[in-house]
Amino acid sequence: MFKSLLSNAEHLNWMGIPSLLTFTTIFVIALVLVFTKKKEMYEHLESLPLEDGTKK
Amino acid sequence: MSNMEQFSYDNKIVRNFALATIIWALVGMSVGLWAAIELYFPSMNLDLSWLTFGRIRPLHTNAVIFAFVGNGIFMGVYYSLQRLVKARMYSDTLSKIHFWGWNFIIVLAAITLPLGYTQSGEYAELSWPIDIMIAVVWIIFGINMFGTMIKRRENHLYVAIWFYIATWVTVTVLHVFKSLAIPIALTSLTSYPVYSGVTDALVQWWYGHNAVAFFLTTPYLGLMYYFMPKAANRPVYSYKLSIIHFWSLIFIYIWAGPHHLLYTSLPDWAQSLGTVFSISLVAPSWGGMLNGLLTLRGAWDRVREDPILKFMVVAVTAYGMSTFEGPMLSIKSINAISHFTDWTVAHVHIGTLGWNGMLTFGILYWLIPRIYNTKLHSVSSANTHFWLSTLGLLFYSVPLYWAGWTQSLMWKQFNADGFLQYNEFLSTVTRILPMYGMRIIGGTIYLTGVILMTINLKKTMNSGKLIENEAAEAPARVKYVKHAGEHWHRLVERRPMQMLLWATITILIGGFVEYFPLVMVDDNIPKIDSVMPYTPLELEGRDIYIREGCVSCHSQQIRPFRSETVRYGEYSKAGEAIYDRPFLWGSKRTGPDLAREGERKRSHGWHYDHLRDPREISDGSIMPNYPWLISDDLDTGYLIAKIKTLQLLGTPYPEGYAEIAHDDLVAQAKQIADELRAEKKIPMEGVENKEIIAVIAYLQRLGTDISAE
Repeated sequence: MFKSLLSNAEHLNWMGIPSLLTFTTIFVIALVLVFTKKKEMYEHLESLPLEDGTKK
Repeated sequence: MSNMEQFSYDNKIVRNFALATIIWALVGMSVGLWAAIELYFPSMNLDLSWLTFGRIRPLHTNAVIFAFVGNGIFMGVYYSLQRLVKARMYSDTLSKIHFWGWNFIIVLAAITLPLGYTQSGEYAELSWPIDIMIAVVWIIFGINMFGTMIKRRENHLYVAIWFYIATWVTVTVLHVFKSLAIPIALTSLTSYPVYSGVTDALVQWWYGHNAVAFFLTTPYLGLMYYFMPKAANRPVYSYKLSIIHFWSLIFIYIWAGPHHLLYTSLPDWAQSLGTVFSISLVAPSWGGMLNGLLTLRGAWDRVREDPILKFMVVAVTAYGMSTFEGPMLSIKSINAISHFTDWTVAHVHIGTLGWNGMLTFGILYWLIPRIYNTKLHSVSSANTHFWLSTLGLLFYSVPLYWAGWTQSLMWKQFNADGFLQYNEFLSTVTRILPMYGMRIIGGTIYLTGVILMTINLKKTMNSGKLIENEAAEAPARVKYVKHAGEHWHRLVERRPMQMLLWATITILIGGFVEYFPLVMVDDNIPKIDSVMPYTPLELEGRDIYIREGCVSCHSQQIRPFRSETVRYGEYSKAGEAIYDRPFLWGSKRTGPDLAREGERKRSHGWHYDHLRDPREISDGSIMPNYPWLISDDLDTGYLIAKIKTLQLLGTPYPEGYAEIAHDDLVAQAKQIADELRAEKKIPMEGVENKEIIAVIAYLQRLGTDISAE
């Protein structure tokens, strides 16, 4: 299967390189964002669905 | 607190969408069941045009996707958005216009699709005026949603809202670009797309796949991120994971459409890009699935007792299965087996019945008692519904997997002498009929569960009273002040419009990279000199073929496999479809491929008898009868408009041809009618005026351009 996948990759031509680079960039940015935030902020965000402000 | 503000949540709009969700579930699934019955008992169309499979199949898909799931999305969004941002919806009036507008559109769809008004593209069948209405109502929904975010009391936008934003912007982009078509006249529902052939195919599956992604997946992930923590009464497992999988998912999904066109005449580079990104999709998809399931950490004991959590667990599991299977089906060697078979149908239903259906049921069971300030009427009935849904899902999908594998292997089987083992396509259909029968049982079980739910929820509503305006309080929003050194992303996630902008950029990249090279580089769609535009009669016949939904069961795309070229003829070329508006490659072969039907040299009489009563020609066929093609006169009232519209789009009919096209039509119809009379040796009074002559002309033309070269 992997051999078949690799053989198909030859049809990607130059289009594949910027595509994968763009994805990698977005993925890395997302990773950086995730690990540069404070724990308190995550705790606040996680609690939002559980605190809906109703008076019940 | 002194700055506490009093306000209320609009539950009435949530209830309205919930009712619409339930009603359309019953309608859409009943139509699906009827369509499944017709595939086993073809006479069940009762010889009625509006009840025939090709017309009710799009009614089923539209009803379950846009009516059942659509209303389910709005129900969940209107409930969760208000509570996540601590504000009532921006405008009650816009909420009402959205509700009535959307459901009016669905009623129009339920009327026009059985009448044969269709643009043919899967999940984009609705006629052009309805497309405009959809755009208007969708924008109203957007104004209401973003207006609510802007007047919010909570600074931060919870991840569920990110998914709602991505859904809104992507569906807007998809709907606009997919719906670009020119009506033949303002008085007609018929239109021709601005794209043709290969380009139309790429746009269709860019749209079609992302309809799955951004209508059936991202909004439901948003609902999962809100309602699973609510039902389990614990926060989401990992908020960090939700951020990573959100951006990865919306970026990758948009590229994956070409996996619906593997081994077709779409250029190889586009197919390969689709494959690579489709395989990559498994990572962000499973990020979401794991985040959902792990939210239940420490609460699994409750899953044993609580039907709501049971529904949610199976829904998320089905999402995981479906999003593992999808990437696998995008591998070319696997797709070579699965494509055009019931394997795809089974795969889709794991997602829709499992993920969308069961998550919706779980949300309904959770939400209705709360907005009615009561308890669920019967927990045991909900448990029974859960098991009916699970068993129905299995009884539906397992036989179809079996059918798909069986039929595909039969299509590809050669005997020791090098001939096709199953030369007659029909023999591969009759072999899988028992599985089609089991599919009916599965669908019936699943629908029975929905009926049970309807009764249970009705009794729940009767036992309580709707809290139309639910009182709430929250501190006034503190105007955000940027702190030195603060990360820019905090600004983005606090500002809906910036989130909208970044999500838009993210989802547009893939679409542009795949679309523009295809239309800008001539080499991608090589022209073939012998390929000519359709004659007026063939054009009318093609429009009837579209009206009857023949594309639901017959592909027109021969893949470059020996098993296909031996069975159907030379493989399909990109240049053959340049005048096809819309393209009609299809995605399922319940009947044989028709790309080279004209090359088979069947007589006009064969086609006439076959369309009148397929079982008279092919014993055991499951194709419906089309008696109205023989009784109804061909309407050529819009022929001039059709030719002129196609000329406008670039089809090279000679200048002034529209005015004389009718003469050509009459002459060709007379020729076919005379040959038919000669063959059948009966008068067949006035047959040249009937619709069937146009359909025969079209079928006899298919695939013959190449042989003329």
